[in-house]
Amino acid sequence: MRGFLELGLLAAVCTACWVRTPAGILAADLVAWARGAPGRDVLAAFSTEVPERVDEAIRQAVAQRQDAPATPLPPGWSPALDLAVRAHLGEQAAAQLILLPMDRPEATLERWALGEDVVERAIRRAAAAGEAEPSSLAAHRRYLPAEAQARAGEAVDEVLALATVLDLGWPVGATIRVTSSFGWRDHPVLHERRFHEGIDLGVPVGTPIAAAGAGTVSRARSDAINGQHLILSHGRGVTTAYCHGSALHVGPGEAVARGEVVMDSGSTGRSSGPHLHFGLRIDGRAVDPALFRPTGG
Amino acid sequence: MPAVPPHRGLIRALLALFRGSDRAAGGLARLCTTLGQVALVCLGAHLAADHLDDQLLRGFFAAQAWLDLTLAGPLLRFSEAVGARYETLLFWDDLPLATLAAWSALIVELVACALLSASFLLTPRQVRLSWAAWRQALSVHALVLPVALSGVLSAGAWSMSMAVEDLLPAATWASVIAWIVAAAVGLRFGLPAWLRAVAALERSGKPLRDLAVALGILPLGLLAWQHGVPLWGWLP
Repeated sequence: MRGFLELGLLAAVCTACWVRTPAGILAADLVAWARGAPGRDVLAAFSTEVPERVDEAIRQAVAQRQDAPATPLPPGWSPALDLAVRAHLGEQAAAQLILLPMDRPEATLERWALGEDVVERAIRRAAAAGEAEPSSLAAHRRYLPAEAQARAGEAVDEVLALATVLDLGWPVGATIRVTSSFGWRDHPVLHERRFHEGIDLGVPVGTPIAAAGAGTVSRARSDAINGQHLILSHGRGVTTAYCHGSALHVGPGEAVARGEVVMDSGSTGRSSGPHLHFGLRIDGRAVDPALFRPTGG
Repeated sequence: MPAVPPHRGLIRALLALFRGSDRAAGGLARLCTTLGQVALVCLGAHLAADHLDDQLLRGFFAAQAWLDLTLAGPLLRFSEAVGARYETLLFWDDLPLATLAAWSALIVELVACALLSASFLLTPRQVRLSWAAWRQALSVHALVLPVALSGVLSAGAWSMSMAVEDLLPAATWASVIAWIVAAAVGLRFGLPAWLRAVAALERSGKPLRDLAVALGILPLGLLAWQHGVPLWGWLP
């Protein structure tokens, strides 16, 4: 009997190691390589908080925003969160979620996606390990089963990142025209083909530039390319950038409110004329800010 | 002569088969132990490395902010004065910090796994743990190894317990089974590994090498104790 018990224990430990640890994944990758099969990403073993698959949801959310009826939402729901849930999780999920209290969207989304038992178990483990705020997803994420971590990433991180983006305002008047769009273009100063990771808005020097959303200033400085520029971090991996200003009104680390004037526009840095370069990134990836331009502009 | 019931022979044959295969399985005990010990170290080290990843990322963000505040201005002025590309000087601007933190944690984890596994695999099997022998071998390495290895092995056993609990429905009996598995794994694989590694400690006469090994296993050992052992939540 003892021999079988030992084999059973060994099988359990080795399986857990194979599935959950980088050493196991590397061993599996080696086997896959020998068989000519695709391997697994070794960094997938680390619990991550960054959203990854929101591009398609962004397109859907933007399309839905155009023809969304103005229906009243329950307390705790914002139009942005409603759109994000519909676009990323689907109408059926939205119909279920709208019945739940949304005072803490992260907790509600997580419990809806993973189930009470799985979340409670992870919170209990995080508490046992002495984590500071075990009920927050950031604290108990690593104590979730691997597939639950992936589901939490999709249902919580990505939805809330999308909601954060959809909640952003516009830094200048909605009628200001876009002088250079997002994407490949012939650079007006360098005269070579370059990818434009933002949009240029044709505003005269000295125009007040508003923060697109509440957040903190993660960079405020001047250089030869971006001129005087700011990067604001809005949480959930969402950042906005404002370049070529003539004066900055906030400094690094400062908290800013949505709509607060953070900069005066200008033509500093590598610029062919007065304009605001406005950029938007989700988890470091550039996204076309024009997708989120307020309607009616 | 009474007739032997036909099923008794079948039972005997099955029992013989079971005993034979059990003995065969038991014959693999040494291999089982070695594999199980290494797997347990990997599980524990990964639980700690997952925390290390987060802490490194926080550190990298703080370092980036500090560099932005202190060095960006002078370097930009310098690059404009000498006509150099400022992107080259401000190398930290567009570093993929999350990926960098994950890779750093992964390297630390793999190094720690190798060092900790070697601490009991590359030693004689039959050694006796003695206080006097440990005191004779006292060095940085002799202090760090028992602490780090016990933390990592405990974290590995808990990780195993969580993996088992995740497979079972949410109920008290599932937690009990998970704890039994953790205890079994800890006693069968963890404890012998720890005893073997600590009992085999000796003065190497190479303090720098000892220090390097100690530094290689200390971060994950401490993180394993801090986050991989389900004790702290029970303390007042």
